[in-house]
Amino acid sequence: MAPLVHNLGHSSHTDAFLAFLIGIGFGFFLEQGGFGNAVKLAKTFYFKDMTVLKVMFTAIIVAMTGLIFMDQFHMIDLSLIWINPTYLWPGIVGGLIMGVGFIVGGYCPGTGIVGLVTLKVDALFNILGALVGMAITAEIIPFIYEWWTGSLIGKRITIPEYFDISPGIVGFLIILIALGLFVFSEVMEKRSGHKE
Amino acid sequence: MKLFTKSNYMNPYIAGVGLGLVLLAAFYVSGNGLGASGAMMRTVVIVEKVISQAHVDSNIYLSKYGGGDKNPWDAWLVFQVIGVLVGGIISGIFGGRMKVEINHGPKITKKRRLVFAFLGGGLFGAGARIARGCTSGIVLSGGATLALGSWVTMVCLFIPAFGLAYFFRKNWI
Amino acid sequence: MNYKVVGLVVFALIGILMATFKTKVPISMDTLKVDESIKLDTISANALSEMIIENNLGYTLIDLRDDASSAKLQVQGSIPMSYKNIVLKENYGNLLADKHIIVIANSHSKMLKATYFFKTKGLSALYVEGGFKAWQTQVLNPKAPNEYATDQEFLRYKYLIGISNYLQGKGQGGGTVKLKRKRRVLKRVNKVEADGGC
Repeated sequence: MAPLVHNLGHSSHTDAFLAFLIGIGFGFFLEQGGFGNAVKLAKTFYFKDMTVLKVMFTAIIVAMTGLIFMDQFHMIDLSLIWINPTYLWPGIVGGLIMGVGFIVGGYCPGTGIVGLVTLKVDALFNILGALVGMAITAEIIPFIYEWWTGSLIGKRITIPEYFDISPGIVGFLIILIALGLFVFSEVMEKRSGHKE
Repeated sequence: MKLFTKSNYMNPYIAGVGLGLVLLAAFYVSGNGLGASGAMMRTVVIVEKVISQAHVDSNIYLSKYGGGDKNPWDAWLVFQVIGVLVGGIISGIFGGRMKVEINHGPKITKKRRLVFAFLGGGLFGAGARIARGCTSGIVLSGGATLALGSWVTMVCLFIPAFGLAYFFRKNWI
Repeated sequence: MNYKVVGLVVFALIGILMATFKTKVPISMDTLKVDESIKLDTISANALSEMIIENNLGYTLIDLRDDASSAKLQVQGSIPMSYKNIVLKENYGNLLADKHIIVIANSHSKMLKATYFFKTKGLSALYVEGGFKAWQTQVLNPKAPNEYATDQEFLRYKYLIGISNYLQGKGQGGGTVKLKRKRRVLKRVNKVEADGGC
């Protein structure tokens, strides 16, 4: 029963190695999708190259579908899967700031790393900026600690749990949203003359 | 369906499937999703530990990563990110994209691009720590697990990016 | 053949199939298997009594005893919850995520399982070491010291009796204690003198 680490008594070296292998896959597909190039990434927001939306949402629905199916057939124990906690206001504020950072800088940490290893100098500057930004934020957080640890809706709360809808139905709705975004992306790319 | 586009990138849908399977494998094998900003934060903490352990210990946020004897780099996420470095290189070599260059919009100078890259990175890093994750950890992993906060953050991330795009159009197109 | 359309249809069908999946019936506490490797935290009955006295609001106390609501001996501020109904969303779902959940019961294994269950739901949970029995013997009826006890042990007893009286609504006094002490001191002085003085 997955997650495997809980049942096969891995040594921490095996865990680290598996993490490394998975990371290789992650980096590989990010770069293959063209995420190492900030201009290509940013074009999404001008509807000229919708690669970001296509890759991102395909990945989300593939993994989400996998989890839901595996859970339904008792192949995975979802209570042992990490689920991001929901701190409402830090999540909103942080998301907004990240959005601005994205259109200004053109990268996020994951894509920045991929850009860095393919020798993009702007990715290097972006990562350096991110490290500085994080260091400064780490100094500020203790002063806003109550706010930052407040508005906790749940440490493992999911959309199905919160709205009391079955995960299968939520998954179906998200697939519909994703498919809609794909159609939208194809239409916008044709309009802006994006050549494959 | 072509596996590769004319510009030698992998078909985005196929790359998405590949990425989704990697994400699924991460959950299946370890129970953790993918991530990136956490590893960067831990790197910051390691540097700060070398400069001043006392400062790390006295900061309620930093001490969680590196207080006392804690090794910030002893984390699943860090090993995963090292893999990302390698995977990116492999893919870059395959795709012929290993090139020292500065990607920028045709209407601006390279220097302007670098300045904006640094500032944008700073903002993104700050937002990532406040939201407790970046696009990999929140949008991909949180999205797939249907975590409520992650979807909220995802929407909040896209709004300013699309909304302010017009004002930064010179930088990109 | 337009592969994109095929992909669209395939995924839509998968989605429809997914929508028919029934939510899993919540596991029952009986079949719940506790993961041995996860360390469960405990709190001593005395520490819990101090938290109650101090009006500490950082926790939610759950009483799993069958007769929790009707029992004569209740723990101040506790919420009764039937052990087998913990798994129902309307019970665990209403527990505040930012407070520690403290579990008390008669049965040690029930406390273990309940604490583990709450932890899997992402709540911070711990149980009272020794359960309700410890609450009775350590808090409600603290053991009186014998006549050769040190002053420190004596003061501690006075403190515990004060808490016990307060929790049982008997006021905060330790009246009877005073009497015992006079006799106790005399006994000790006599003993010392018999031994040949200080």
